[in-house]
Amino acid sequence: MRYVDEFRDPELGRALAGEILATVEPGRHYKLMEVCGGHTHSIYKYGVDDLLPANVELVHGPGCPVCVIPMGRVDDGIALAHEAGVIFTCFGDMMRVPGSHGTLLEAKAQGADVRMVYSPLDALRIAKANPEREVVFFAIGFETTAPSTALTLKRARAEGVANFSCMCNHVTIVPPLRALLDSPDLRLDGFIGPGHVATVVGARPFRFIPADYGRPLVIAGFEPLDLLQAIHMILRQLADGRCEVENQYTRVVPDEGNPRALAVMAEVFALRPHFEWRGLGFISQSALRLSDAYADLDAEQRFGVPGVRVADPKACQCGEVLKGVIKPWECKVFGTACTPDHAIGTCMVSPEGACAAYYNYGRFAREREVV
Amino acid sequence: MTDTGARCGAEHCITCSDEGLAMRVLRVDDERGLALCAADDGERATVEIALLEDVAAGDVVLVHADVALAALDGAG
Repeated sequence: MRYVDEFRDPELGRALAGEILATVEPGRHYKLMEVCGGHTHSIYKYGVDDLLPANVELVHGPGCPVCVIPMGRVDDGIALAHEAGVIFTCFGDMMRVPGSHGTLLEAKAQGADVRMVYSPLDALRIAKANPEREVVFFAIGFETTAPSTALTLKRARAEGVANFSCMCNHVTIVPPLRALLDSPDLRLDGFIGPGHVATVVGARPFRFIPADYGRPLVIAGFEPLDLLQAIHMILRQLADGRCEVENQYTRVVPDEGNPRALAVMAEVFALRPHFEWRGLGFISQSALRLSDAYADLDAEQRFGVPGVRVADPKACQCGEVLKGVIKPWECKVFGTACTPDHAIGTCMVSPEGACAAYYNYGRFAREREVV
Repeated sequence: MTDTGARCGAEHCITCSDEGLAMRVLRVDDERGLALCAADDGERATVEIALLEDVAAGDVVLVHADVALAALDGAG
């Protein structure tokens, strides 16, 4: 398929790896963070890291939407799912994220009507097909999925679907990046920027990273050659003493993003003053709620939720993994008590989570030997 | 294995909601702002196209959670 095959060419990959090797300074250690969970998944699926020199280290960022949902929000969702007459809808991975008293999948086993959907539009269809029931959509994701939720809420309003509401957990990418850059326990040399978030927000929101923190960022696509080229572009900037936002993914990402998507998000959502991120704690203005104009479609207002903050399990080190402070296999429970089949931490639940990416592609054995 | 359903394949896990999929537009319903699209593996989906200008049959678009977010340049 176009846009896929040509970005997986092994010859070009080897050539790029050679250029990367020629660009790095021997004796200098480079720490680059891929922000997006989709990148983490691609890196381990295709073995991109195997093509890099030993002194180029990839650190996995907080950009997996499932991984950053705190336990308290899962508990709130489960409470909604147990409301009489409610059909609770969410993306599949969300069903396996543990709250303090189990998962949504377990709530389903106990009798709650929890259904997996592939998009908010699917949830709206369920609402239209079940007018006598209340249908709640548990919305998660960064700026890539927020437009989808926003359009669905507009459609629900336009079509007068009164039994549909949304529990909004959408988050934004810039505040956690700033929090990471302010974190004293993490030293990064550059960022691989999230390609699909940039499709919506454009390149401008990332300019504070070179401007305020002196780190380069290259917006990248998701194929192996995209990632290798983006890594090369970051290393090239470092070698040249440059520091800017560059766009490797120009075939998809316009500099200005998608103005229509930004407009619909501005209409339907408002910034929360603060929001808890799993492992990262509370971050100011980092998440979205429904705007006052759409408050009647806000499930949290329609039903009320416990809203209790729950501390992460002590054994789980998702926080350090999400901040890139430790590698997944350095977590005490990785691959033993915590596996994709029985996850303790969210990073093991979603295929985009760093722990699941390591586990599913068998990366832990080799790296344990190295250590 | 995960229990995220048949559409969660090796290439894309759209159930975790943050994975984009390149899809070709087969038919456009301008009145409702929807398009019938097909992925490379033949999987079909009804996609919102309200966020893009001038979507036509044959275009390749980037789809997240059933919404087209970007047109892919030079698709032929």
